[in-house]
Amino acid sequence: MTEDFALGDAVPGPAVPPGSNVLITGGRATAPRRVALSVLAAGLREEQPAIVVSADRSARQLEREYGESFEDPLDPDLFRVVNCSGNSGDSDCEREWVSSPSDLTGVGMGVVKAGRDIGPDVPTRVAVLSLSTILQYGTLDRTFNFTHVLAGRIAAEDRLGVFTMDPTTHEDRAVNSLTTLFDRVVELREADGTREGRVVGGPRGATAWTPF
Amino acid sequence: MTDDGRPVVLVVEDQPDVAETYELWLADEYEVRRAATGEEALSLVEGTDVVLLDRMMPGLSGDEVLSEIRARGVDCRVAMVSAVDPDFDIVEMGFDDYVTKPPRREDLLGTIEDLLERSEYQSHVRRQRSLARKKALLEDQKSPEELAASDAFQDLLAEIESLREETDEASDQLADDTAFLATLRDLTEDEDD
Repeated sequence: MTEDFALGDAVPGPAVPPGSNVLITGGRATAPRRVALSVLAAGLREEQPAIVVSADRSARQLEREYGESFEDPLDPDLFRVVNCSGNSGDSDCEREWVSSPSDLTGVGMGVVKAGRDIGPDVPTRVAVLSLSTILQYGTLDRTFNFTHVLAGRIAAEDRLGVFTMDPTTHEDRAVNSLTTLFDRVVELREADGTREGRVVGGPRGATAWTPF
Repeated sequence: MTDDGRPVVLVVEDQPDVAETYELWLADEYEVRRAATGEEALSLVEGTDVVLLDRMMPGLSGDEVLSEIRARGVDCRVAMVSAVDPDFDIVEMGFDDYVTKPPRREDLLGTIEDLLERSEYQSHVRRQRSLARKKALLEDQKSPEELAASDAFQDLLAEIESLREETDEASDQLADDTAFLATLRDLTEDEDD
């Protein structure tokens, strides 16, 4: 299994190799969660499973949000939610319940269990929606370590990691520390009613802002 | 770690012949300490890198010894030696790994090696975190032009990058469920500067 992960149309930049971790940052108006869901959708259409750590929404709310943006119905065998949002709601997609986004070992346990019957060679996408909430419930040190270890596992398993963050809700220092952990950072912004994105990091520095 | 850099392994085992066997297997590579009881283990644990802890002992049990080691904040990895495979309940119990009893030589040596590598990974993460913090602080205080012209900043970026590559190699173990969960626990609980 060496094929790159296609990220779909909503994210600027080329496909990424297995074991990559991508951070999508943007304020509320740019809807980073929706963009992350579109990256998962690009995989689901190819029968690639997704494991979603949901700190902001219940599995049911995620399902609804997904349905508003994408036509294909969600297959609970492929879309597996580890719900640590504190919001309950009946959903076949919910695999694991973790009481709080501050229980990071519990979140890890949820990811392990939700991934248990996905074979080791199946290209799988793992999303954390959002890192912002995890940071709000914890400290920068703990969040840094959590991200390091989870991203390390995703890399070791040749999966794709997709994390979101709203940089407007944190100090620049926290944002700039966490971005060092990713292979690619996609920045989103809204300018004059148009949503734009660019890729930062990597050998060529930042790309130009392009509308999407 | 001893002065000459040999990792220290503490064997906690009440049956002398079993402890003897472990020591024979380990003595080539490690500085071995032996404790026959939980109380003795606690008097020897300071400065050890890995503890092999028999779960079933008269007197203080393995679980009690473990919680005292953690309470004292000794920076060591603890492998439980147990007749039953505890799966990843081990993580909630506070252990880093387990060896099923009776262990084979290569299992015991392999586990110790894995645990030492994990300790190294954890110190890498902490080091990377402090460099990332330094980088973010500079980015906060200086303009992009000033940063581009600063040798110190460029050196810092290079150091972060090379540390990242080193850590990538060390993180292969994280594909293992127990290694992943124990590492996550160690690095996210009581972990604030």
